[in-house]
Amino acid sequence: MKIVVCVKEVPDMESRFKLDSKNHKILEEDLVHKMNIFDEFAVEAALQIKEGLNDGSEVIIILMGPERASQTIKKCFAMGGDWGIHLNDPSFDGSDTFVTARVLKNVMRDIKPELILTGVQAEDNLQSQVGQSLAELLGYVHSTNITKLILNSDKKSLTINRELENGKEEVLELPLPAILTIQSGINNPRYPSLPGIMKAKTKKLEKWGPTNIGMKSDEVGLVGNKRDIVDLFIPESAKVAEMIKGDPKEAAKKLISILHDKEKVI
Amino acid sequence: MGDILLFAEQRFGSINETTPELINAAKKYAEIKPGKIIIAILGDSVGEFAKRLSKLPVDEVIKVENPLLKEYTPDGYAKVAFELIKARNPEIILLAHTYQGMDLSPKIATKLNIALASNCSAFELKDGKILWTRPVYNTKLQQKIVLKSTPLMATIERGAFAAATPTDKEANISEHKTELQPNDIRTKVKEVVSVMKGTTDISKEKILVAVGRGIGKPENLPVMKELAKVLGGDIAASRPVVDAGWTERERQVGQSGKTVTPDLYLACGISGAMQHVSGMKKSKCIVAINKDPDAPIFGLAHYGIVGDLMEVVPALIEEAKKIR
Repeated sequence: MKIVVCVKEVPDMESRFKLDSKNHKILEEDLVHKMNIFDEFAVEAALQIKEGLNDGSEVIIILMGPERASQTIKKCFAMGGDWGIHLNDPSFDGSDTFVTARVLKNVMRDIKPELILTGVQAEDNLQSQVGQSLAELLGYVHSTNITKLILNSDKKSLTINRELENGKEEVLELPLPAILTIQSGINNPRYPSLPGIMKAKTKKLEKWGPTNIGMKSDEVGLVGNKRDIVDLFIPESAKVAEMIKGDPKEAAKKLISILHDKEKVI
Repeated sequence: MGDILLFAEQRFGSINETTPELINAAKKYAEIKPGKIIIAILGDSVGEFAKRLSKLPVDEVIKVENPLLKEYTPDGYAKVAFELIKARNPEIILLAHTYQGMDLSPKIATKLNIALASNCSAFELKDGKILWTRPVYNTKLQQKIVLKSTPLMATIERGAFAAATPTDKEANISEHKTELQPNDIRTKVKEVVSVMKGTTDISKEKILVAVGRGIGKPENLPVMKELAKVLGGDIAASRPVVDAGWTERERQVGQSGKTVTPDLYLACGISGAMQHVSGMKKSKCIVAINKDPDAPIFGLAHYGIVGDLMEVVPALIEEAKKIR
């Protein structure tokens, strides 16, 4: 069985972001990048299925992003991914979800995976679109926010839990081929082992541009996009809290007195 | 002047609380670009819901009833949505950014070969174009985007608009007969289960000390619990803490967990992602302690301290003991 995991590299969300307001972008200098947290759970889920099958099934990693993002593919390899494709070409830069889904559709044409997993959303763009859109383009069935994933014994269908509001989940059965977007907490993503890191260096990593997937450079990236970003900003409301200053002791003393004397909540 | 087509959401015997919010978003849209507000409701037997929706400020309710729509499935609901959109040719399509809206909208947009603006908190008209405001970078920043395809399509953030209230007018209810067939639907819904297993009910507490990823490691939990105890409250948690297995699922606050409204919500090391905020923003007094001065939680909290939790919390315990 071929299992594809679509992963993304994003800035560390603990970073202090500085804005290039003219180009509606964040300044990338000094930023640390890492694998989108939700995709880590997707990689782990794929590896668990592969290990459960133990029949030569492969986990294939696909990532779109600049050169630096190859470190994220290497991390997936070190976790146990078998080989990968790095969609790495300047023409892909800034692609929106519309373009990304269509690029991935063309990537899947030759691979024909039975199962595609990805994180429920990317921490940077928070859109939750590409998985569902890719499923529609490929004619695969999809489900989102998956918190439990079992490959049924017929190896042709899945039993999954999909998260709903207020602590509820629905149990669904889906036929393969399928696309699932994986929610955090479904598993405990493994840390790459030292032998894993050594082995990662020998695994096949192909670098693809638009021509590898039969697309023109004006169908991808900013020119192919169906939405324009016209502004990027820190929300005005970001500073509404009354900030309590001082060293921890002073701040604690002030806060307790406010909560007790003024707010009367303690 | 084009129509505004909304998709209502119903499940478990009630209309989702986001549906009246969606109607208010549409009303605001109609103020800047006049159009008829049409709301569709799908299910196996939705006559009562359609009647209730007709009393809200909409111009038309379309009900689509079919046994195959009893349970939500992306295949079934997207097919019907596509039929309706083709029949009505709206200028804009809106859904709520709920678990269902998030699952369904990209599939509809892809059938239409159009872009989708997801999880929008606001929109405005500028130079003849609609600008959609939405959170990015784990909600630390916001972006405004313009869609370059038609019809326009967006999902609206839960709670971004107030709920519409009934008017004394009643909108016309029409019916759409779908061509949906059993083999159109590939998903089988087996059952709905609750993942809240324990007996803890944090929604009853007057004081909650809520812990987030920022506590760093489970070894730091006891001091948080001590603060909760000294203040006479209990521990709540954000999703990453529960996902990591540091505390029980029934203590989780947010969209997938509990909604709480205590007198005091002390958010410790919680960044303030929207999924969390939707479950606690109505708390009476919100205090945030975080080492990141840009954490979005400070946009919601009444009081904030920027600092190291493991220094501030022990100091709070000392001070709280003095007044007890």
